[in-house]
Amino acid sequence: MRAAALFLSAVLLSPGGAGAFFWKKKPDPAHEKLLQEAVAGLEAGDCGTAVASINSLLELSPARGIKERAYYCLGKCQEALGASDKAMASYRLAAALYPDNALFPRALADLYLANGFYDKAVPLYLPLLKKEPGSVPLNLGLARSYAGLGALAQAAASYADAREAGASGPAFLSEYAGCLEAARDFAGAAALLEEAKAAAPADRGVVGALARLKARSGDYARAAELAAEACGADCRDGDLFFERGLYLLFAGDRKGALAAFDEAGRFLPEGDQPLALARGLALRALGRGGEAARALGEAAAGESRFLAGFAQAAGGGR
Amino acid sequence: MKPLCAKRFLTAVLLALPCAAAAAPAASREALLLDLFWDRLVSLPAGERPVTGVALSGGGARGFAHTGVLEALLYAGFPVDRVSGTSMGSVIGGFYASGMPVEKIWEFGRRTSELRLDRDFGGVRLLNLLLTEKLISPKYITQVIEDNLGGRDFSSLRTPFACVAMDFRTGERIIFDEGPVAVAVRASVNLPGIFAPVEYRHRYLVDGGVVDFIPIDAARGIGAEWVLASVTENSVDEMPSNVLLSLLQVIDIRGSILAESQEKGADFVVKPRAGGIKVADFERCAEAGELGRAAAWAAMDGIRRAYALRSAGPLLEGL
Repeated sequence: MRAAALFLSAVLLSPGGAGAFFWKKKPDPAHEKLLQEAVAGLEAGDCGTAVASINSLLELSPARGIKERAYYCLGKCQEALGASDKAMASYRLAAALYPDNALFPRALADLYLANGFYDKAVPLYLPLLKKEPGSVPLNLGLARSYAGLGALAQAAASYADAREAGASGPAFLSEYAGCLEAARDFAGAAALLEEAKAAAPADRGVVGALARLKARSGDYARAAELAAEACGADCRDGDLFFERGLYLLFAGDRKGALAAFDEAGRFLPEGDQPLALARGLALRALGRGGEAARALGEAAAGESRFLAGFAQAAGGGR
Repeated sequence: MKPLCAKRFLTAVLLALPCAAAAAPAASREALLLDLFWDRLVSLPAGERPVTGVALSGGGARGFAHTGVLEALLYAGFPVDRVSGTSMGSVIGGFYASGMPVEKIWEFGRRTSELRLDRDFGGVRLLNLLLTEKLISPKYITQVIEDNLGGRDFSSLRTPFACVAMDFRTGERIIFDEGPVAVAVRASVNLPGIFAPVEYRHRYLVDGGVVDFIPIDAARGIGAEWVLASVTENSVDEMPSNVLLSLLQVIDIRGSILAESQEKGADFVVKPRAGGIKVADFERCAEAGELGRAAAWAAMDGIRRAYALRSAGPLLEGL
């Protein structure tokens, strides 16, 4: 939040901020004051006041520089109020009015991305990146937009560009690996996650993701080991027990799987449908028919049709 | 400011995005089960799981969306065991079945001007038709088909394939799944009233889209037990500017009406939002492909669930 506030202040209050805004005439101090009130309102979380100040300001036909910043502030306020459609409209209008100002298409692209309009974000990021090819956020924005469209080869290339531009750290590497995993490049994804693990060996998320990748590559035994490592000695994470149990089940260690599912049951909500299905499958494989039927019956009665279907196919009635 | 912004941006959006979700540390338990079932399923040999088929509809230039659909399926590891196609679907399906990499199929979409595909339509002049009373043969489309499928027989294709045409005299649906591929595909993509019928096996053949817009039966006929249909319906809301475009639009509308009833026969339907691209908009093929990929990718979770559920029996064996 602090970074966001600093960024907004830099852009909105400094007359020469980011070199992005231009003036043809001298700004009126009264107009500046209204803008400052709006920015203060935005930073204080009082977007209603901020929008009112901006609307008053725009009615006064302020100088171009102030008007540009007012539109930017208006868009940010609308975003903060959750009015994404209005924010998009503000940015679109401002981008048309001030085509030299890259902040508007950039804000619009980020907003499209955040709202799942990946196809609209891509054509905005591309020209911005031509001007600023070394930008990490722009490369990441493009990578995510491509990924959302299923253009995974292009997404992977943009993640590589982001890395080239300086993106790093376990979170970035995990995200990049996720893209490769989606394209079933399990080896490439594992290499990135190994790198992330080396940088942050205690990061349970990274180790858990690596376990999952091993499982998806068919190495269930190694996946179970990594899940245990992610869980640690004092594990109270039901998800990690569940994951370990699944890997053991797929590896053929049914007793180990059942023990892990029992552990998971201590931390997951009662009647958890995925857990009921997994337990049912382990019990069924162990030949404990009555218990299996109860667990599978519970799973078959759950909300997810997918899980219920599998439970029924495994012998759970409905 | 740059590193701060990047970090904040990354953290804020990380868990909400498609790629990130795949590697998220606390992925949902159901998603993990789906992934593990799916990976197990796609590693099963074709004989140990239901045979899949992908039925590609007609739609002219819009039908290039099928290329994106096939690409998304490949990304997901979906096993395409059988392919069927009508009209443009038969061209894309034939190329795919021949073993042509999807990236090369994309190239056709990006090079339509260079390949002059649009000129087959541009060359149709009403005055010529009236003077000569002869329909023309689509030179450039024929060339592309011959260059890539010429000399191939259905039995030599990497993926079993069928395509659909119509006998212009009787209105019969003709399904091709044996013999030379190129002439069958040429017949399937042969718009009636615009291009001269293809004479083959004592029949006069035209585009199959009028009688079988989505060749689901054709896919089942070559062994598919679970069929995914890729359907590119018309949603153009525009008056055609001349007689020939009017004819194209009538054929296209007829296909879309047919699609509504036919798609019920599929196990899963993907509908790229390419309806605004007209039959002869060949310069928009790549755009159609991108829309196809996006539609299939957005539907991929549903596709995987549906096919995995159908395969629950063999999937659970030995588990």
